[in-house]
Amino acid sequence: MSQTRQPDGPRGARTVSLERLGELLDAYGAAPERWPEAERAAAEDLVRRSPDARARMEQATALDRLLDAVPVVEPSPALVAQVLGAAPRSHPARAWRRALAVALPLAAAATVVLWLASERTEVQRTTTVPVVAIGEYTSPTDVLLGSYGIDVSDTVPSVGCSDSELGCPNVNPARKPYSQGRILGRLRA
Amino acid sequence: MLRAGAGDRAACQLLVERHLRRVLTFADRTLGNRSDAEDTAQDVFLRVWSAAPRWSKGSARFSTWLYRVAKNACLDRMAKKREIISEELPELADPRPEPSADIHTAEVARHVTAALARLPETQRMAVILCHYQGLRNIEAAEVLGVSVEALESLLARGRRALRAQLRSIAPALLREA
Repeated sequence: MSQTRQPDGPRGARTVSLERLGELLDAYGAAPERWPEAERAAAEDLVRRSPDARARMEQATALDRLLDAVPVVEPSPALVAQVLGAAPRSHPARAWRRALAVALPLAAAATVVLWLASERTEVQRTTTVPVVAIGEYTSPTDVLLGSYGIDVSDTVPSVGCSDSELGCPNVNPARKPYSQGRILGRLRA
Repeated sequence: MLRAGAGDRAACQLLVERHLRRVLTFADRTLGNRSDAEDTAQDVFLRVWSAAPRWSKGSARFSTWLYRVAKNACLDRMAKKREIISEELPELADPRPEPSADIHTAEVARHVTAALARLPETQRMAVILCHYQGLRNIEAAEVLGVSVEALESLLARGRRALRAQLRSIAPALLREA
């Protein structure tokens, strides 16, 4: 072997001997496009200049012609169909399943949030109902007081009545009104 | 490849249009049997479809990878059918005393196919990749997993053997070098 065998690569200025040309013809045949690119120009130049090189070239060409007698193989439509039939397919059903897998939890979460929000509104509505303390209202409520075992008729209003002529007892301001004290005492109990 | 892997029909068709003929030709000339070649081509494309979703641009050149898959598929099939193939090889024509200069092309093709089938597997694949498939030497070496020097040696031995076998049908064209 006269020269290092070259992989294809950028064309470079080099020379090819008759021996090396013989190796190229033995390996790659007579078509220059099959020769390594790095040696192609020099080999073609040698063939142009050397009758011996052309004789070798003819022998390689003869073998190439025989090899090229083998017809090109064309895939049948049936084979193409079978190969394409096994090709990957996009799956709309899978896409729907993926979308649902995302959408359902989101919908569930949204439902829970809405439910919680409505509950909170209800609570707020409930808590805004004014609550009047027992000792503050001006007109006694039988129902409220009755639930604490207080007989409303047994009490004397102690607020807003200071005229004994109207049936109100004399009120000693230093003394806590009977009814109020009694009620509060029961409530605390 | 990635588009094909995602199920893009047009991308799959493009891959088939560009490469099925090459794979089928390689398998047909390597195996010497059209039916086996078609089965092998289908196997190769199953590998293509399977690898497509995970294909990365940084991996090997597609055609090199494809031929490597095809080579391995052919080797597997040959290993399974080695004895059968050997039995089915058509006999080379007896050397003719005065061979006709205008041998019918189909008959030449039959002889060449038979001669190719008689080559050792790696020599046959080297000739097929470089002569029929048009791969550059560095690509063919990569497919076969050998150096460029080893590839040239395989090619030279293969073509020498082909010349010796085919001399019987075309002695005027294939004088002893």
